[in-house]
Amino acid sequence: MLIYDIWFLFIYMFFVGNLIFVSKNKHLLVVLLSLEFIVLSIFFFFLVLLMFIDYDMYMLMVFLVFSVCEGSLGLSILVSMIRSHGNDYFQSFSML
Amino acid sequence: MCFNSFFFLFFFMLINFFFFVYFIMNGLSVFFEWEIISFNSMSIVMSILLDWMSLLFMMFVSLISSVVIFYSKSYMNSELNLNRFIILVLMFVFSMVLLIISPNLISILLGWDGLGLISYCLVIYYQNLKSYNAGMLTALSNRIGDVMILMVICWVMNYGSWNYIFYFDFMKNDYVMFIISFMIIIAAMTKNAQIPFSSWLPAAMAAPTPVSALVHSSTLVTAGVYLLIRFNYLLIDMFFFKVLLFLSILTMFMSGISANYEFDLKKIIALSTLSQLGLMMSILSLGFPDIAFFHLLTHAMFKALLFMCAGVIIHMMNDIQDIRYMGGLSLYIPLTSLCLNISNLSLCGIPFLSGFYSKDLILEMVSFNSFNLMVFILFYLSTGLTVFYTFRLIMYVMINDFNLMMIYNLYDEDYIMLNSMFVLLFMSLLSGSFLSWFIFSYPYMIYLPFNLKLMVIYVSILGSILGFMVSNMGIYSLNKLLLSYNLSSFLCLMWFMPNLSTYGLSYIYLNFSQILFKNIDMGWSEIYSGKGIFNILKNYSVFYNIYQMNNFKIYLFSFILWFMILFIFFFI
Repeated sequence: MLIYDIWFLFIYMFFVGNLIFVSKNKHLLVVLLSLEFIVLSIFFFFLVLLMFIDYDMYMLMVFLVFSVCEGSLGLSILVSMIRSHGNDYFQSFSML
Repeated sequence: MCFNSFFFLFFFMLINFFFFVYFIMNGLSVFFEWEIISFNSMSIVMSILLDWMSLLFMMFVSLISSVVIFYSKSYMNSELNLNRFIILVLMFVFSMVLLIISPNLISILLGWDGLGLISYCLVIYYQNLKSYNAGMLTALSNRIGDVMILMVICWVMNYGSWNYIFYFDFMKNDYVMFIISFMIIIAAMTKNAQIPFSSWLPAAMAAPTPVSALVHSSTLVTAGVYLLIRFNYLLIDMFFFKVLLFLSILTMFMSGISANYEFDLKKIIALSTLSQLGLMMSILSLGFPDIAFFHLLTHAMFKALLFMCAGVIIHMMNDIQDIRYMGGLSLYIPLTSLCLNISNLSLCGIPFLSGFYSKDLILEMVSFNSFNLMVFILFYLSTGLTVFYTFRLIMYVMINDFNLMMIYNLYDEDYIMLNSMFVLLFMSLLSGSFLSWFIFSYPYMIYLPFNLKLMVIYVSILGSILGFMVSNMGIYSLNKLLLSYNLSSFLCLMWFMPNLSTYGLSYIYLNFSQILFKNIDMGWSEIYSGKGIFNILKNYSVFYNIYQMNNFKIYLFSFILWFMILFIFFFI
C-alpha cells in the first residue's frame, strides 16, 4: 500500500494480477480477468516509461492491439469450453 | 579300432625293443632337438632324448598298453562309445611317451599335464557319482604336481635353458637348485601318491579295469619315479631327499596295513600298488636309481596282469568287487587263476619269478648298506605285509568256499582277454631275469650274514601263515575288527589321511560358506541392495504420490510466492 513512487503501483498491480492468476478459482473467467488486469498494469507502466523518455507512443498502440487479440483468444477458449462442457469450472485440472 | 591300435602299439614295442638292445649294447644315446622359438636368451626347443632308459620304458609302456587295448576289446564290448575309450587310452600313451623321451622341462610339462588330464577323463568314464568324486580327487591331487612343475619351469629360467640334463648336477650347491629340487620332489610325490597325497589312488579305482591296468599300475604312477630317476644326480645330497625317504617308507608301511583290512578287490590291488610305489621311491631316495627303475619295470608287468585278472573275476561275479562274495575260483577258472597266482607270487618276491629279482635286490642292498634301524624294520615289515595281504587275497578269492549264489556259471574262456593276459604272464615270468641281464652291466656285490640273507624268506613265510590264519572264517568266528573298532578304523582308513583331501577341504569351507550365504547373501545384502532398495523406492514413492497429487495452481502459487519473497527482500 505504500506508494512512494509510481513504480510501486505497477509492482502492486502486477503482483495482485499474478496472485489471482495462480489462485484456485471456480471459474475460468476469473483467470482471464486476471490476465487482463496484468495487461492493464503493464500498459500503464509502459505509458509512464515512454513518457519519461520522451519517446513517441506508437509502440504502446501496437502493444494494445496485441493484448486485445490475446484477450479475445482467451475468450474464444472460454466459449469453446462452455460449449463442450456446459460450464467453465476447471477445478479438475491437476498435475497428475 | 582296437585291433589297429593293438597292432600299431605292438609293432612300436618291437621297434623300441630292437633299438633298446642296440643302444644298450653299444652304449649309444641319441638327442634330437628342434628349436621352436628363441627370444632374448631363452630358447624353447622340442627335444627328444633316446637313451636305453627311455627306450626300455617306452617298450614296456607300449607292450602293456597294446595288451590292455586288446583286452578292453572284450572287457568293454558292451560299451557304446568304445572308440572314445580307445582314443583316450591312445592319447594317454602318447602323453606318457612324450614324458619319457623328453630331457626338456617344457615337454615334460606337456606330458605330465596330459597324463593328469587324460587320467581324469578316464577315471570319470563311467559317469556316476562315485566316479565323478574320484575323478575330482585324482585331478586335483595331480594338479598340485602340475603347479610344482610350472614353478620349476619359472625357477629354471635362472639358468638360461630348459634342458635340465646339461647343468643340473653342475649347479648342485646353488640356492635356486635347492628350491627346484624341493618342487620336483613334491611333484613326484603327488603323481606317485606318497603320504600327504595318497588318497587319490584307492579312489581312482572307480575307473574301468583296463584303465586301472594301464594307468594306475604301470604308467601314471611311475611317472613320478621316472622324473626322480632323471633328476637323480641333482637330488642325491639334498635334504628333501631324506624327507622323501621317510615319507615313502611310511607310505609303503601304511598301505600294506590298510590292504589287510580292505574287502574290495580293486582297492586291495591299488593299495599294493601304493606299497610298491613307496618301495620304489624309498630305494630311489637311498641312492639307487637303477634298482628303482628295475623294480618299476617288473612291477608294471605283474601289476597290470593282476588288474586284468581282477577284471575277468569282476566280469564273472556279475560286477561285484567284494572279495567276501568270491571263493574257490581256482577250481572253476584255472587259466585265470594261473595268471592271478603267478602275478601275486611275483609281487611277494617268490624266488626266480620276476618280482624276486627286483625286490630281493632292493632288500639286500638295504641290508648291505648301513641305514637306520627304522628303515630296516619298516622295509622288512612291509615285505611281510605284502605277503600277508597277498595270501589273504588268494585265500579269499581262490581257496575258501564260493559265497555268491547257489547256481552259478563261471566262464573265463574268453580268449581275447586270456590271450592278452598270457602275453603279460610270459613277460612277468621272464622279465625279471631278462632285465637284470640287460640293465646291470655287472652284478651287485652283496655280502651278508646267513640269517640276514634269509630274513626275506622268514618274513614271507610269517606273512603267508598270518594271511592263511586271518582268512579262515567260519559261521561262528568272532569279528575282532568290530571289537577293536578305533584301532581298526585308524589302520583301515589309511591313517585318516584321505580326510585331509576330501572331508577337511570340503566340509569346513562348505560350512563356512553356508554361514556366509545365510547371513550375507540372503541377509544383509538384501537390505542394502535388492529388496531394501525396492522397499525404499516403494514407500517413498507412495509418499511422493500423496505429496504431489494436488492442483496445478499450487505450483504456480509457489512460483509467485517465491517471486514475492525475492521482491520483499531485495527491493525494499
